Amino acid sequence: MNIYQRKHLFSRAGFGVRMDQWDRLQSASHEEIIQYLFSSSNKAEPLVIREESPFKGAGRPGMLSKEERQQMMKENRQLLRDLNIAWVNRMVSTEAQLREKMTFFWHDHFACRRNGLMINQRQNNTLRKYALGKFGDLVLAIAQDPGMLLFLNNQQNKKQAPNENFARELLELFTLGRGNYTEEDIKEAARAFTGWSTNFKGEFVFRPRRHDNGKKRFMGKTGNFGGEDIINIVLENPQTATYITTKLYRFLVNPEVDQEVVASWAKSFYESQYDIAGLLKTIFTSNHFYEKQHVGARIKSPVEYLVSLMRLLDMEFENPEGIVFLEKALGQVLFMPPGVDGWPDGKNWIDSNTLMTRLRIPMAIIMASELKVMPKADFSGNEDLIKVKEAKKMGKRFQATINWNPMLDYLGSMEEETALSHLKEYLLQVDAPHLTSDFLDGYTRKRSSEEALKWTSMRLLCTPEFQLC
Amino acid sequence: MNTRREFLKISSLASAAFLTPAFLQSACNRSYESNGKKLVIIQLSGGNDGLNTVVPYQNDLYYNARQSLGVSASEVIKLNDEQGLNPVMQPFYELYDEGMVSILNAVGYPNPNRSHFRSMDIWHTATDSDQYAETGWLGRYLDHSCSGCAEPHLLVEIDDGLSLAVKGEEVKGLGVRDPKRLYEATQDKYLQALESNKPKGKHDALSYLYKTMTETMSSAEYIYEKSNAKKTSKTYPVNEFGRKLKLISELIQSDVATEIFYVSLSGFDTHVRQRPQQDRLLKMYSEALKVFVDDLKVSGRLDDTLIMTFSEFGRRVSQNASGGTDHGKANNLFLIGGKLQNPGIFNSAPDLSKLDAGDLHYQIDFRQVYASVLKDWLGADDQLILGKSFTPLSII
Repeated sequence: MNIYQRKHLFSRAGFGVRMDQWDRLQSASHEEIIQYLFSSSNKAEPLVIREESPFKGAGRPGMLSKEERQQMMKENRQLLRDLNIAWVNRMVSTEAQLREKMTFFWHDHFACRRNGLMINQRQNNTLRKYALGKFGDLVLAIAQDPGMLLFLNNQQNKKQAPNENFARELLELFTLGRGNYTEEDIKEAARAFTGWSTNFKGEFVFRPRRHDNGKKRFMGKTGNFGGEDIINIVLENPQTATYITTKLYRFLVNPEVDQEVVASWAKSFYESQYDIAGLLKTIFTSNHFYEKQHVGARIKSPVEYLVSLMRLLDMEFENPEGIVFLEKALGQVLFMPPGVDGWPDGKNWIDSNTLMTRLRIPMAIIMASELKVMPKADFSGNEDLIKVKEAKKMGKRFQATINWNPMLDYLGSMEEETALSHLKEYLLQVDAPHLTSDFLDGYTRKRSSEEALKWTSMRLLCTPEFQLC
Repeated sequence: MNTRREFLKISSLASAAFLTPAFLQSACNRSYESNGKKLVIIQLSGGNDGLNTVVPYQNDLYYNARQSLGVSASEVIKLNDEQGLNPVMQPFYELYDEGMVSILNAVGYPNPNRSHFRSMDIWHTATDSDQYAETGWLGRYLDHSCSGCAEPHLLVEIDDGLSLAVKGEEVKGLGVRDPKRLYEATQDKYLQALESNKPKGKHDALSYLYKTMTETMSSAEYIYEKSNAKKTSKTYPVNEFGRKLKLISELIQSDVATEIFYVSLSGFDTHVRQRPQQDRLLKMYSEALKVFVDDLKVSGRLDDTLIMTFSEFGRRVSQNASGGTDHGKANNLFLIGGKLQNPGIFNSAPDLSKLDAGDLHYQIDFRQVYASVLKDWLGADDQLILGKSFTPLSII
């Protein structure tokens, strides 16, 4: 395996390499790397910024005055930004890369949008807990997740007046995919999920009096089905394995799907009773995964872009809100997917403006200079995501600390050309012979070696090539 | 002919039809030629309260529902014996009086959604409220108007980022908040060098990135040159919105190839103490709009320009306890131009006696407006772009 293939694994199964992994990545055997990848993600460490609701004891929202409620919403927005920042920092620093990457995948797959901190934190940890487990357990946990039940109106799904929203998305987006069920199936599935609800403490509750105990006919089967039965019937359908494997293929391997390969992986996924870790192992140990056409074939999402940058440069923002600012400018704010089907990906991330911003961010950060970008206003004038004043300040000057020392230690003793080629291998996911030393204005020691490193890194990061993973 | 700049200079001597750099692309198969019409979309973000914009000043139900927030009959600028304008909209009234405004009442869609994000997406994608799409209606216009050869500057959004409405599958608009700044950013020597040093090969994602970079540079330069070509003599209000409309006017006056302009004014989410906030915004809107229209008129561009103003939803009929209003449903929509078929109030005022859970029912589906704009104004295939047929309106 060449270095790009080794890195390929790290940029798909995680958020890219760090300098402290670099030596091991080059010397370890493939088996050792795979072993490390899975064992370091063994445990699911919950991400918790508040143990209990900061509004505990404040009473039900209905009992508060309008002003009190607005104050609460404002604080909640700040807390949600804090959770967002905490998650990005986790992605940057954790050894459990595979688990966080898959949590990020499921966050998009089970897209949900709620305002409260606790409800988002809880859902995020549910995704993390089951991220590498059995897909069926994950689906059941999400079907009983207060945030999702509220988001998809299952609170309103009652025997007397069924609400089909949750049932529809379960079949259409979470398991089978469009066109693999009938409208009648949705109606019947909705009946089975009647009474799946939440209480005001944000816990799942089953309300038997709202539940429809009658016979349901779902996908050719008849019985007094509850929600669990619907999920089981959906899992018995191999189409679910195909749908999930296809989506994972796009995320982990290539946006262009190889149907034959997917079919064979989906079959073993199905036979393993939907063992997610097993499927991932199949993918990462296959020869197919490392084929040349897949390496560097994906465009990083904004979050992947930011996290890879922060990992590579061992970087920390002086004002952590800078993370949210850049997510917003590039079009992907965690916990705020644009719709139930998650973020449109691939080439959708790139338009004239987002590309120009991406090509200038590393420069703005490394030179602590102006970025001159103002994220799009929200309905209330940006306040939902970021304070206007802070945004203006950040647009002017980006302050972050970068730890250049490990890179200096690594490259310091090398010849100039060798140092450049190692730096390119470290920073980029595609071979870029056209970015020659002449072109980059030299990795030259005319400047100090630190200056040379900063300058050349900046130039390599401000390229279309760096957008790929 | 070394640089794009030189090309632009030379071509501008040749013929106006050759002005667009898209012409550089040999395989252009535009399915319909530009008819020279300009479309300007003004989005009022946050959900403008239509009932305090165009006030049903003879309706007791309105005043009962708006005990302290209602705009009194003595204040309004009367349009007919039912509806009148918020008094801060005097400049808008002058346009109305000259027959340059159509007011469409109760525009909405079936099964409305009261979330800002969702409802705005529905307006942007023009899908049914239970459907999702990754492209916007104007983006699809770009896709269809020229498969694979339209350049981003065919649609300019006056902002640093793009709205979903302007993103197509193949072509996406260009966000320009400040033409000079965008131009300077693309003129960065290193980025220019990268562009001319692009790698050969068939890497799909990489080619797309480099292609976007090339187009951005070319479009940014084009828009910058055009923005400098004509300076208006009109004085616009000194605020961000006035500045944006001024930029659009100057671009139009310089014969820019851009067909669609998109601009937003936000802050309409008035849950608390609505009156001063909404009045300030409506005043800002009306004043800048009046100068803009006058400017287009004296420069002979008004007959080729259509302006549409919309918001993602209206607000509840009843005010809330904080002197504001909460999210509602159907709302009014304005069309402004020199060639309107039916200027004035287009359809009957919303019926306040028959509400949809406290909100207005819609009379007109907003996609009927889109269909008319696409077909009758831009000369495009509305069914192809909207995915189905909507009964057009006699508005343009």
